[in-house]
Amino acid sequence: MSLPEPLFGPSPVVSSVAQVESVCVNHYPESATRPHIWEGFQTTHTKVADTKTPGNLWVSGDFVVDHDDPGFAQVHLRVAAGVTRDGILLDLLGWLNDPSQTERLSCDLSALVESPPDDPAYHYVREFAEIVLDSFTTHGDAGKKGFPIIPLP
Amino acid sequence: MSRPKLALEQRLNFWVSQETYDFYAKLAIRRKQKISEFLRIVLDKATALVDENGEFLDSLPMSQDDLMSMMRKVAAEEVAKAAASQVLPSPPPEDPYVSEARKAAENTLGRDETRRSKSSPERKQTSAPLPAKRTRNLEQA
Repeated sequence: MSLPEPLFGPSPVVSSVAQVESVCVNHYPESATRPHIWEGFQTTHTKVADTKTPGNLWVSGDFVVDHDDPGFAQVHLRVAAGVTRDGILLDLLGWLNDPSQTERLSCDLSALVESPPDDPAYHYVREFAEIVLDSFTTHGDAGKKGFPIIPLP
Repeated sequence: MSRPKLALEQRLNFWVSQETYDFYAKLAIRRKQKISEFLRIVLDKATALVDENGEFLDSLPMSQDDLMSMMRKVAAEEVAKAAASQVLPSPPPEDPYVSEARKAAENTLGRDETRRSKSSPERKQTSAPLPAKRTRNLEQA
């Protein structure tokens, strides 16, 4: 039995939105689920881009493996330590980490801001960050690593 | 007769790391170090199952599902031990960014768990025999 192959090579795979759309959506014109998932991703991307948050969007889940009708995409906003922490950023984190968005957008959303090494919460946040990374770096039964990372302007 | 320890280790390393990584991720412990410790324990137990010719997966005196159950049980025991001894520093209680990071991790784990439980019958069907690709990977290891 052949297993679904990841659509991207070993991480980090820096990609653009257009590249992800080409690989994950346009190559599957018969897919029943990819267009809907992509709509959810675009809504998320627009929301994040509008806040001008400097960071990266990670995309994973069976959306990025060779599967005609994937069930979900994982979309994660990772913001490096050192960015200005304000109400807009905190609101965005709250929006992305709200579980109700997952049902609405067909995307598993999550977000976190990394802590600087001198922050008392550094090790704690790092553990959470690694948990998310673990989830992103293995694609189901394929067991291979690789997912696109979209830098935000 | 001496057993092909290295080949067995390689096979176990590949297989167990695939199947049990999530146990450790759940508890936010130092996973790589703990997996190494865990592998040694499983290796000791699994070595007892190797026949005199050193065959492991191909002539195991139990089904793959049973072996997987055994490994999961061992993993759960080790996770419980590790969790009992793990003392994480307390985060600043009011930091909303730590709170959001925690939500991100908890949501991710919760979804993984839900998805895995929904797909478990299907996964069980495909777990034996070893998929050709995984077998190739094992041979190349």
